[in-house]
Amino acid sequence: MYVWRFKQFKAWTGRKAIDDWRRRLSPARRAALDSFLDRIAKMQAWPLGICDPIKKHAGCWELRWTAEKVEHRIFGYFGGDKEFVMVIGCTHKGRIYDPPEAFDTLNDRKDKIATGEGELDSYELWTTPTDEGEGVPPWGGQLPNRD
Amino acid sequence: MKEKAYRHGAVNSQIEIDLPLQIRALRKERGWTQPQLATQADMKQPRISGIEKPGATHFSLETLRRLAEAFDVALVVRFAPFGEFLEWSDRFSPDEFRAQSFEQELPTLEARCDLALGAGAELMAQLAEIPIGQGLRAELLSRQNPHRREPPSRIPSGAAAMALGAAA
Repeated sequence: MYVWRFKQFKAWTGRKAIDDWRRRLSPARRAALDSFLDRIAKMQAWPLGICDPIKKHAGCWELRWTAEKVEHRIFGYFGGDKEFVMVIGCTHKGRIYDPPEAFDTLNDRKDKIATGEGELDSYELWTTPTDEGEGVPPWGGQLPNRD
Repeated sequence: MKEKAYRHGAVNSQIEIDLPLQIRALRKERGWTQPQLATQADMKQPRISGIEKPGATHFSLETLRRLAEAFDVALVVRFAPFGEFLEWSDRFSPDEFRAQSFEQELPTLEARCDLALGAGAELMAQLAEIPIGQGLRAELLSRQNPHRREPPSRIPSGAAAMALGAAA
């Protein structure tokens, strides 16, 4: 069913970049994120407009969608076969990014992954949510502890 | 899902994220470019480009109706319980989404129509064989074909309905 797997940046403190960002989103935006990732995980290839290269950041790509009239982005890069590494999530309006240092963070986290200061962790998609913030992981694994 | 704002956000996502992916899938299925779809839908190409980006467009029913007409597919807009919504959502895959145009679907529709007509004719033949009173037969046959001119039934309609159920 799913073609793609997602990974996310995990700091040495154990903080997971996308899980943390998701938690801070409004419920409606969280739902949009969940739907968006669920849908693109089922696609063989991502068209431009949904996944675009980031200018001046060779090898980095952004996943793009809009929710509540605000453009949302996840910066990352392609990992192994059909795997996308999500490094940071942000919103974007005009030329203003939230967080403003999103691109610097992207570089910083990539460096940390390279040096071992940070690592990659699997990102479980939220499918068929049955409870508040609870979903069934598509890989058949245990639900991660998401407090 | 117990959180109302989340579940209605999910409903919104089905409109704003799934519809662009459906539109793109239908366009690709037909082998059309964005300008070609724009021509079919009497829109401009940049608008089609925006329409295909998840969340970028707030769809009006008129826009959807025009797109449905361009693809020559039906458009189903209705309220539904969340269970049904989730089931659809689970099954939806942008790459596998298909909706045949009316022309593509026509042989299937015709076959379905023939099948229904055949079943109706078979039932009529079976009814003709049933040893029942003249009045009841006339009632049953008139229910099969309301335009058929038969003498009015002499039996209560409730009994006829029971007999029809038994015959079916």
